[in-house]
Amino acid sequence: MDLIQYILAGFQISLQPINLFYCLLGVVFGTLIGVLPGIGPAGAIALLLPVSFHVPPVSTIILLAGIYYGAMYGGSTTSILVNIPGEAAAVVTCLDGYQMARKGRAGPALGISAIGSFIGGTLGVLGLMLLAPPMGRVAREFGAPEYLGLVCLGLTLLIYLGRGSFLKSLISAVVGLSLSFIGQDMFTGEDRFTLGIMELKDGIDLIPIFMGFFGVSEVLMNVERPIQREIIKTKVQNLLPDLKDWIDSIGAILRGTVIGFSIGAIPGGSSVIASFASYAVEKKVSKYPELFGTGVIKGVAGPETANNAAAQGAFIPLFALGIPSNVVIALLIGAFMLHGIRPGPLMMEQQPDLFWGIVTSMYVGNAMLLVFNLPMIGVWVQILRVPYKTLFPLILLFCLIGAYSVNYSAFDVAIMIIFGMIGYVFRKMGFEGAPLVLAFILGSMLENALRQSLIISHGSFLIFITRPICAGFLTAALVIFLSNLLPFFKEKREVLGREES
Amino acid sequence: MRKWDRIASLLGISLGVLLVISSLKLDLGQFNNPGPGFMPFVSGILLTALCFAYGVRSIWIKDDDYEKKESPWPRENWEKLIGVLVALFLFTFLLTTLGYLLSIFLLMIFLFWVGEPGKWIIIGIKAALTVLATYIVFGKWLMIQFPKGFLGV
Repeated sequence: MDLIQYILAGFQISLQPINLFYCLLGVVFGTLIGVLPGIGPAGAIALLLPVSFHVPPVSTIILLAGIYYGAMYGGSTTSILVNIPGEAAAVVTCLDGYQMARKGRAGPALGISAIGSFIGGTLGVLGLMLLAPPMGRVAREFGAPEYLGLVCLGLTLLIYLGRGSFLKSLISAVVGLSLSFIGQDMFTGEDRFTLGIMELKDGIDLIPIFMGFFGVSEVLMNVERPIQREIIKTKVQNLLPDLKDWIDSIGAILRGTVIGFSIGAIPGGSSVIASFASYAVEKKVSKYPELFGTGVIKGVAGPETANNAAAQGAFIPLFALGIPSNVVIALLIGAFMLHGIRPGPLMMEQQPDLFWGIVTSMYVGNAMLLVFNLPMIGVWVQILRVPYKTLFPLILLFCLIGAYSVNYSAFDVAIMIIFGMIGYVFRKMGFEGAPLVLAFILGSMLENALRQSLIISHGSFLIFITRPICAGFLTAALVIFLSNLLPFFKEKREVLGREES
Repeated sequence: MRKWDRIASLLGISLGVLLVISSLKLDLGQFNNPGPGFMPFVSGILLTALCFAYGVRSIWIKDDDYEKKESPWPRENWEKLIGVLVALFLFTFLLTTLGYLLSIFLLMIFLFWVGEPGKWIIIGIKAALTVLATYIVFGKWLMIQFPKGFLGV
């Protein structure tokens, strides 16, 4: 089958009424999550993960992916109208979006943000469609040593691209790695750190950790310091940008697409970094950089496009290599696993319908977001008025149900609460959660790859040097790791961390 | 913050040492043929070393260069925070005995009260409606088997 036939077969799946329903549900729920400060796409997906047991695999991923890119659309609404980002990738939109709203230009800001998101998202899916299959073909030749190199590179990039202190990111990752060793050893069946607890023999489940880290800890932060929301009192009108706005924004949108997609496709890259990078580039190429922060439309168009393009780019490592590029994608891997599917190059070959069905649904989802979101902005504004004191018991309730339903076990609920507390302490102390969670997922992959490689090579470490792809990955990881110690990069990280906080 | 960084560093070092000691009880194997204890051993050493560096950094760094000076812990609403955590643990502990409906109802009453203390009847109605809605969606529609507890429902 050639590409066109695959695409047509994909649309046959994604346009089935049941999948259209789940796609719509995903993007609407995602937008809602994006609009509401206090819960991000990772938390929302974690909540819905156990529920997806009862939904077919394609529909599950269509639903969860919809939440992810839907949240990118929704995040800008609060940034523009309330000056509080609905989720982290929309932080930078506050700078110019809110200023535009204060000047009575909330409509064009919201409009260009939705249109930019649509263009970035759609071109991102196109890139995903063109790049994932050939990359997958290369990855099919990967053995244990190559996967070891890839995991090392992914972890290094993740720590490198993190915000704030490099040392703290590193500690976070090592804690995650250590947690991944809990449970029976894959090779010998020996119990490790199970403390004699039966439930720990299979290790700690992903979902309670995610929900604790991204759901419960967020609620605890907000219980301590309630979110103050003051919706700007302006009429949201003229959503469609005028010709001048278009001329001003089109370059930013195209640049944002390229920047966002490229950053999203790197393991460790995220929509947050993509939006910051796009803003920085726009400021750099502008003739009037001093005007940024006063309500420049480019400052909204670029980052909003970039975060959506990054959300699509992030699917490349998932489909082509079977590794997560960020926390949300890690959750999607969990969703695949729940249905007994291992995402990666073999999935594209053995279950092309699944891959193409999911990819084409993203076109449909992006179109739905554009069509529904602009007319629904009034509704989102109303939802913003729901007080957090009503919202947080519900978020906790969903977390509890979600964690319980994984294994129908109160033990998982306790694990979730414990990780909620750890997540809270981590946030307070300025440690990032993402390196911990991703290292936790990649930890067992890393250990297995190391031990398998040494079995293949009869104990010779030369296998990691003599296999060129593995050597390339490891060299890149080493270079990136060492570059972090250079003062220039160190300073950049700290600036990014400060800007975000 | 400096004080808390040092405490965190000590905690991390203890955790790292504990990991090293625990992994020594497992089979470490050899360098070119690692056993089940090898990777945890390496992680323990790494964690100890990194947390040591973190502690040293908190001692050496100048006051002006410290990113946050004030304590990270809450001065207000901390009692709400503790209350929510205790309630969540109690819920976990009582879930199987009391069953889903009763335990979640009690938890919701408490959480809504923490959110906005008000008339108990209003809070009770909000909690009951929430429990009922989730029971219908998750218990009936999505067929999640919640514990029935002593009430048998």
